[in-house]
Amino acid sequence: MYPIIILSLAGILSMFIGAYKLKKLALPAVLVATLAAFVSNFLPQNLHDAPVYSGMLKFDSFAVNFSAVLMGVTLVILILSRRYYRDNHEHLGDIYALFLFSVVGGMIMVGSYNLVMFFVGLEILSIPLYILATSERNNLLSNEAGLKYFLMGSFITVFLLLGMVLMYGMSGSFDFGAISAYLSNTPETPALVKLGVMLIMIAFIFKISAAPFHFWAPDVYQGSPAVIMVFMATVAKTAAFGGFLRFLTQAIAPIGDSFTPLLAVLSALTMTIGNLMALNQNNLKRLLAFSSIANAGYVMLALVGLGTNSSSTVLYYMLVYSIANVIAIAVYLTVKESLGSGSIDGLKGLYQSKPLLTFCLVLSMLSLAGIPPLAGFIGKYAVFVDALHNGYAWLVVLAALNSAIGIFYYFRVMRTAFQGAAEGPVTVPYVLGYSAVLVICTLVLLVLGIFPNVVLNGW
Amino acid sequence: MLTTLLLFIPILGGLLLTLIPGTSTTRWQALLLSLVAAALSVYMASSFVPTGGVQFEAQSEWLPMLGIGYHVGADGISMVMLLLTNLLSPLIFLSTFKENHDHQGLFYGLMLIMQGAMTGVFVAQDLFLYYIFWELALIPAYFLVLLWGSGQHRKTAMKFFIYTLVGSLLMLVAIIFLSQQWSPASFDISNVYKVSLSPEAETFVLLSFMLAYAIKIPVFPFHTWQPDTYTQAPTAGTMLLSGIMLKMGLYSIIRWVLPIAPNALQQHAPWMIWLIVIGIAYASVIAIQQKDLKRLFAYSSIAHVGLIAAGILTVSTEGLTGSMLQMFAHGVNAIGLFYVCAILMERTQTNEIAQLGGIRNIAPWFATTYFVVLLGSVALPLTNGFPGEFMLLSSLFKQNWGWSLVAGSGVILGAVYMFKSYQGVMLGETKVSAFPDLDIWDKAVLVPIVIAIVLMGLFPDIITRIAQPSIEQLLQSL
Repeated sequence: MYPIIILSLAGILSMFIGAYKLKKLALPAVLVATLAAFVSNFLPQNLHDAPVYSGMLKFDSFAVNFSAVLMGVTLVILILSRRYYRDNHEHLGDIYALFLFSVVGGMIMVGSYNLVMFFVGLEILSIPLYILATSERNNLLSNEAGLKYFLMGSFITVFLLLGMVLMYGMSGSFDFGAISAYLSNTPETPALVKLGVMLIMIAFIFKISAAPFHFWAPDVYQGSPAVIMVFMATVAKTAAFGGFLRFLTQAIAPIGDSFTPLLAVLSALTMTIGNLMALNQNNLKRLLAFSSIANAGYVMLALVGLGTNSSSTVLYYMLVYSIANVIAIAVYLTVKESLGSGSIDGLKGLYQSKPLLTFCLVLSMLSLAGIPPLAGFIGKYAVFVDALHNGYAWLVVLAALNSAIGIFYYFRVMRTAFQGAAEGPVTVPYVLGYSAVLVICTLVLLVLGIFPNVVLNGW
Repeated sequence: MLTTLLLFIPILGGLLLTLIPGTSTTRWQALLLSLVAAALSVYMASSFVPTGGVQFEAQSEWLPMLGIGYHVGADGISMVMLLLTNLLSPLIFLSTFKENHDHQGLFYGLMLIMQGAMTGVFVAQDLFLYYIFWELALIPAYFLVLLWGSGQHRKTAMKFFIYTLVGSLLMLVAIIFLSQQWSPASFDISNVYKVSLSPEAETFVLLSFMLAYAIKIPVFPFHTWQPDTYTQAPTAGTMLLSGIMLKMGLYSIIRWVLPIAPNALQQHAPWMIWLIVIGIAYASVIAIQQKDLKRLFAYSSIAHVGLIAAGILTVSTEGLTGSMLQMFAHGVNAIGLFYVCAILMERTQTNEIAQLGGIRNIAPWFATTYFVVLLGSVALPLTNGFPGEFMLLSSLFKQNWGWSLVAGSGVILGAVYMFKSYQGVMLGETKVSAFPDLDIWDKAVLVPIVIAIVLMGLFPDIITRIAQPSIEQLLQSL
């Protein structure tokens, strides 16, 4: 709970920065706060196995580990955002505040032990994102993205609320423990409870942009500013997975198995649609959007094979996937600055001018494609094992074939970087901190691939 | 410890080379690293005691939770492959010295990583570790074709990668499936060998593994990626692919498929061998039609390795021993043949047989070495191709004379297209204007190959002595 407090305060303070014209201070202050929150997250006092605050939140190791990933990825995105917002954005303080609030929402989601808190967390996560998506005010696409995301998001919220109400109506409580107790004492699950879970699942599926509620993702991702896009694709998704996993394992564990077939079908649909649609994309952000849909499908394999290892599998997968995405977007940003084009062809000539950046891009793409010894491979392996453990051989074979399809577009990005550019190599202004962060991220991908037990240890 | 060194000297050295920009000394650094690995492997082979067991073992915990350990070591079968990989690699490096590639650091770095990864495939004593090296070897190969290939190499590189990856992924599914069968979870070879499967499960594992290997080797009808890739890859890439990498597939059949799914193999081997021997004849017939020398050698490679695969699937001492001999011989010959292509390309800018001719008259060194490599390739007695091919055909004959008839016809056709191509390129009227004879670099590559061809033809015992005990032990344990 310390990180939630620290980051909420930091967010509020950050909003005053605009008023006092301290823009130069904004980023360092926010970074220090995030770092402090990250460290405080690991304090032993932060870890409670019993619910706190009248049973609203529970900071067990699950919540702590997910929070760590959420904050870690945010930290990297914030560092990279310096370059993006260096043109003295008007509302810098507000933008950073919204980032922080959104992370707080995510942490509340993964720490929630009550459906109300789950809902509050989801909204705190989402509302800043609606605003951030439109933060490039002069760009029509950005406005469209924000509006689309907002309309769809608030529409889906209704389903979530209805689902919660049904659960409450039947079980008489919002508390995860009470719901779980009710379900295990009820031999035959009432249809309304099942309906309620389904409706909550719809909200979840929307948030992770899985089929059949994935239509918003490509437009929103493409239209939003790149830094926001990668935040949505990584932090928001990780939080959604964490929150839903928590709901599955703590609230409806007794009847969780009955939704496995549905999840399996959705997972199959999601990864196939994502991969097939990504094949022909030329805009890198749009391609990453479809890739993130496909990856959501892979992670759902872990939910299909829900077991003791699932939490660490999902966390590991999302961490690795997030880092790879951050690297890709960071490389994209440097290219976009110099060429002003969001198309993959803008990467041409990258190898000649920036071999190191190309190296990072290649490793991130190899990781997304799931090639050993990179971390993405172990992530895929772990979700495959989970699903096969539950007897879903057809799904795993389908996922394996899907991985092969993924090669087509990930490798297309990669090999474009090696092509010679028609108008001479791209020259990108060199910023030391930026490259250092990228190299560190890339190393993390390698190290996590060779020593996955740092994260993947089944806590 | 030695095995670990042998593995990581090339891989780490290669990584380093890819990161630093290439200079004029990069090629020497790469050659030095690969020579160190070669010297290590020779030392290991000379101190290898020919018994059945695994030697030079190194074992440590890696990911105990997933049951994955770091376990490497070499028995006789692995040792032969180690020698093949690490002795041929320096020659392949040498063969590139005259060419001027862009991004030298990346080029030589990738080749070194590939050398290390292939070594890893041959020494891994842990199924998961093996799979990681198996895939790791593929990435440099893809980049070699992509960045330094010719013609439609971008498309070809993709086709090659996707083709082999689909096979590997299905193998991965089978590996995960296997891992569900044992407890406690451990991918260690001792544990993998002990697993007992139901007949259906065994068939599933067999087919998944064999598909991956059939694509990698490649055998008919999964060979369609191979001719394009071999033709369009840079020469060094073709050499690595045909000389060493495809042996990963053949070796893996011996190492993993035979012990894991012996009963299913017994049941399914007949139709598989039929398919393969038909593929041998088919590839030979196509090779006769080829107008491009490099493409011709690519098809001849399908025929040759098909015979090796068929011999392995007979699961007999003779077949396996023959396959070890022939794997080594094919590696040496393939490098020789593709280097011949490279020399022709460098001096005449073409590999079209019709545009060449009469080179023998003006380049005697080249003519002689080419001829020796050719003789090895058509398996003339006293060359390296003969003992292996003889044993393979004989192992086929003992089980079904029909197989050896079809496969044997492929071998005869092999002599036809090889000599025909030699005739077209080297004999007759001189069509090329000028053709400098072999220079010192060419001799540095071809002379060791010629020596190896003759030496192995006279003393096949060098190879069989190392491999025989392990093969016998393996067959007894089935």
